Amino acid sequence: MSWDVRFTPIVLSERCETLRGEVRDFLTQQRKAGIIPEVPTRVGMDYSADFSRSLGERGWLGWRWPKAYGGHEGTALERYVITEELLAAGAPVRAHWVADRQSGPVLLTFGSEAQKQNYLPRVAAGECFFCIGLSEPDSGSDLASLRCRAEKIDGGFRITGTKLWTSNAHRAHYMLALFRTAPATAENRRSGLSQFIVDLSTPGIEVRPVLNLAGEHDFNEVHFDGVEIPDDSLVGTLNMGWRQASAELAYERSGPERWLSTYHLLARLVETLGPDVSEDIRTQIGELLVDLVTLRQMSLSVAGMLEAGQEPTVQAAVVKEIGTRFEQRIPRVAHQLLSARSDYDDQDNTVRDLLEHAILWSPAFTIRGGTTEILRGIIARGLGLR
Amino acid sequence: MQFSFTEDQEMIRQSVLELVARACPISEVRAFGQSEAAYSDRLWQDLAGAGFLGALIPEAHGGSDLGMLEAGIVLEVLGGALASVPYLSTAVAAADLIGRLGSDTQKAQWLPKIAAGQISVAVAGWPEAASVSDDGQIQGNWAPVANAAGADLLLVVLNDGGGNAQVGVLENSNADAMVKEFPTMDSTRRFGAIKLTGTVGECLEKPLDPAGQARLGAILAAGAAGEMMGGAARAMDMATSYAKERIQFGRPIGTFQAIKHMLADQLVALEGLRSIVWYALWSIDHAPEEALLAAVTAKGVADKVVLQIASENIQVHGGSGFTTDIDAHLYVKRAQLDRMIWGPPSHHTDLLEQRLAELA
Amino acid sequence: MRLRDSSEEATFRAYVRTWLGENLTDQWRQDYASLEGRERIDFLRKWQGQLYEAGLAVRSWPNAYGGKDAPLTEDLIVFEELANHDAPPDVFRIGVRIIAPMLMKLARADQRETYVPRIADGRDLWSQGFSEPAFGSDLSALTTRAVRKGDKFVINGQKVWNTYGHLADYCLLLARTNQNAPPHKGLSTFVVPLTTKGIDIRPLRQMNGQQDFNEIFFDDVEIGEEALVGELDGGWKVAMTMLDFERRGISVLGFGCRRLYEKLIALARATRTRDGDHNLIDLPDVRENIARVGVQARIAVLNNHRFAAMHSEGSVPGPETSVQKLHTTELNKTMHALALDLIGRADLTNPQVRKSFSSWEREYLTSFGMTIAGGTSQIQRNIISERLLGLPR
Repeated sequence: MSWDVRFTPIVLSERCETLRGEVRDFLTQQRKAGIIPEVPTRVGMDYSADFSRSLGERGWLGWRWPKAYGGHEGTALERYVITEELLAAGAPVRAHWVADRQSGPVLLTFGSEAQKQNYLPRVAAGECFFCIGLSEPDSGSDLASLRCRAEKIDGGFRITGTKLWTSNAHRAHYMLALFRTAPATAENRRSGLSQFIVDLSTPGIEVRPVLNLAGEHDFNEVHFDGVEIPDDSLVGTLNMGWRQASAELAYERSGPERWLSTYHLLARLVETLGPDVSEDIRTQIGELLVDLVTLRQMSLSVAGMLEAGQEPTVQAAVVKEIGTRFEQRIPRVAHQLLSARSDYDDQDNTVRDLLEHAILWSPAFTIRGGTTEILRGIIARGLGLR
Repeated sequence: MQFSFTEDQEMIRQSVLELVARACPISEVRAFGQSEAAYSDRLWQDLAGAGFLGALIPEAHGGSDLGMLEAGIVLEVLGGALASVPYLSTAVAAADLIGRLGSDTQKAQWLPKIAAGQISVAVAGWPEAASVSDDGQIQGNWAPVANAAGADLLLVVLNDGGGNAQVGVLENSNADAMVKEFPTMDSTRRFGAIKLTGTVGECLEKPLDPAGQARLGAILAAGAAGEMMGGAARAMDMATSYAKERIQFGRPIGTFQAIKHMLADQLVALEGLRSIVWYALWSIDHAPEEALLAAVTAKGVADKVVLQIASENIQVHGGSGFTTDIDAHLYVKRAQLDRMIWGPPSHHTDLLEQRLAELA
Repeated sequence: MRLRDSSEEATFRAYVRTWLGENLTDQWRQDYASLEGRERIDFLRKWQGQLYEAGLAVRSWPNAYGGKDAPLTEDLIVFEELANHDAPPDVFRIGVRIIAPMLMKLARADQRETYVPRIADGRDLWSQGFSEPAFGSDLSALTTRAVRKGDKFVINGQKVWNTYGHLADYCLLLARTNQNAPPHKGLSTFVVPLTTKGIDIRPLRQMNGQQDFNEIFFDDVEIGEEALVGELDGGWKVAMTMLDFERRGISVLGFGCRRLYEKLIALARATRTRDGDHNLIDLPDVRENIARVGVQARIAVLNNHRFAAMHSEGSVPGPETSVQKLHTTELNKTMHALALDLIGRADLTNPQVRKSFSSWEREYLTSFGMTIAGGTSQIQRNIISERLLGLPR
């Protein structure tokens, strides 16, 4: 079997660059107003409902969606440019992130008209936030083995079970979740799963914080004890949820956020080291920049393929596999180069704060959204090895 | 060559393992993280009672007169248990310095207290000694220093620029040593930031000559590597156990070669680390001219291998590895701090390469 | 714990060094380099005989078989000094380090008495007949068969990767004797003289330009039933025992890596960069790379000693030898790649440099075989994870 995994080179349009300028101007204002830090001291995205709403007001959410649903009918590459500018600036995009990146697109493709009318405009306005209900305590990499079930009752469904890792379940309005609605068959263990929108204000939903190793509250365990949701919570076709969730996962794997998490650290590192460095250090930084530029080209290429209506599953997996390991490499190199400096342990050394936060978060990059091992399996399948 | 432990040494290992398992279960480690204590007093007293704090102290001063290998065995077990006790700085480095350089009075004053678990000692001044000006003014700044906050005694290497150094002795009431707590990501130990001013006060009687400085460096680097080695072995065990139990896709994840091969590579790395660490610890007393280089080599290898194993332990655990619900994060955080004490990672690799340059 | 020679060991090492200094001379090397094929093997046969006479070849073997009943540490001293003196690859290692130890453990008394002494002093050269074209890593499924016919066995099939078979006297063959049992329970091992009628040996060309291994075809080859080694259908155990010994033999490579480190330093010191401004050893990245492999070479030697001490004398080494095999063969490959990298930065128009390059190049190419032979690195990782860490299959 031949290997035909291509990354078509992308040249961004003038419209994209104009848009980039607009986003940068907006971000400059936000910095002046103190809403975005001048110099980020943490990795990851902060949560700000206000900021999300202001983006919605500017018309930068729901970018690719039809205007009829509150969208702006823009292109995937334009959306890419907006996203990378926001991430590079350390803007607090967490609140709307999941809804805009994946929940909305899932509804757009598989949702009913009523659902599209109900949710999409509010997501595009930056007023309606979603979280992801997929993983469970016994179902991580093996998602199809999930057990949280939705039993058909009169007028709706009764949900029983537990979801895990649901980031921001404590702050989101809705969860887009995958539940088991029928037993799996022997031939197809992925059959019998269905996708639902769960209103998180429904009584009976218990959200328990799970602190991450940085001591932060991001993850949750969400327990459903016979929670009743109406019929119109079902998204798409009953028992066909796996296909829908797979599409959702593909969205989750393909963007610039998969290799930009420690970008600020790289920028601060270069700034701190200054121009007068040894050739050895120059080489190390050079190697990081080479990877950065290459990853960006590959990532843009994936966006281009999505734009063309393709399903670049293997390419997205390749970008995430390389990208997340790249994210981990930056703190390692930064630590090596900065820890020997005499100013490293100064109290006011904000680069050290950023570096240590990056070090703490590093392990997450190769786990979340599909572990490196799972991604390599996807790539191997693309090579015809499975 | 006979690269094996004696029966007595194996018995000591068993004995320390049991003692530490009783006095420092993982619940104790988690509780320590929430407390304000400088170190785990119960474990410290138990170690004293069993004679382990006196490993390098002669019997005349209340010690058990063992040796560096026995001290290494204790350090390895303590590292594996994520224990918080100032063993390396007090029972190993300080006991050695005082025993070799102290006057009879000084030895009688401090050594029995160390052996009995009555005092804790922090050591500063390696690899960067405090400088002493012509008029005796000291300047020294170090962070992070293990167990510095709350230590009863501080031993500081003072460099007058003449090749020989002195070891200053400061009690914790001494205002010239400002020790502030230095918070780090490692909740299993307390670290301090030390700022030293004032003039030279009490010093150990004999100077710390270049051979003595090399010995101190070897003790600290090899000792730290020994502790790290213990932590790495436990992290690898944790990942291996999980790989056997965690079922995904209808089978234990340890049946997947991606996991198997990752853990196999860890074992190869860990066995290599063991060989170089024990060699370094052995050489301190038996091949002193090689000890510093061996210790720095061991620490350099540990810096890389231990962090790798601890990080992969998180990877094998998937999402749960990234929470505080399970203990994998503790090994990574401890490994990060271990890399920084007694000099940043580059310090060790630089020394090695310097040696290579000398060959050129 | 004693990590330097005892006074006896030091005396022995001095003896070995003296002997090697007197016998492994430049003239010897010249003679060796000028020979090929059968002449080279006969030259090495004599060398093995000399090593044996000097009491160096099989020191740790029992007296009864020509050894000195010496501790394993003395064998390690011999290996180390051979490596330090750049001794040529040990063609007799298959017999001496793998087959003879297995025979001493599992063969009949008459087989031990007949074959073992002749292995020790180089009178017989042995090869191994295990792998087949369709069965390398998955050895137990092999299909070469040995069918009983009266008081004989008739062998049909094909072996591959048979090292030195074209020049050897005997082959230790693993063949299927029972089609009805589970695959690894239907195998037996045999001593097969390679002059037996029906055996056709064809050399294979290796990527390093040499022809040390072969395909062997067995076409109705008849051997007596006394050629059976161990139990009928108990050949898997024999084969696994041999593989365990083979992996320990790899410890020689650990000493070789240490020697290689010294050579890399010498290479870096003697080689000027193409612009003529520096010796390579002056460059920080060169020092860093050499230091890194040097540390691992140090570790390989220490591992040799630490693992040797794990087992009482004469016992079969365990799966920890897979750790050594994986570590040293991969290190060996990395170090050779580094050597090429260093030379690549020099001026290759210079004939001296070019000469050095072609010798390093040959060794570099040879290094690829070592992470494959005796169980690939991937198989070693499976062994380590399953047998040492207890991970499920």
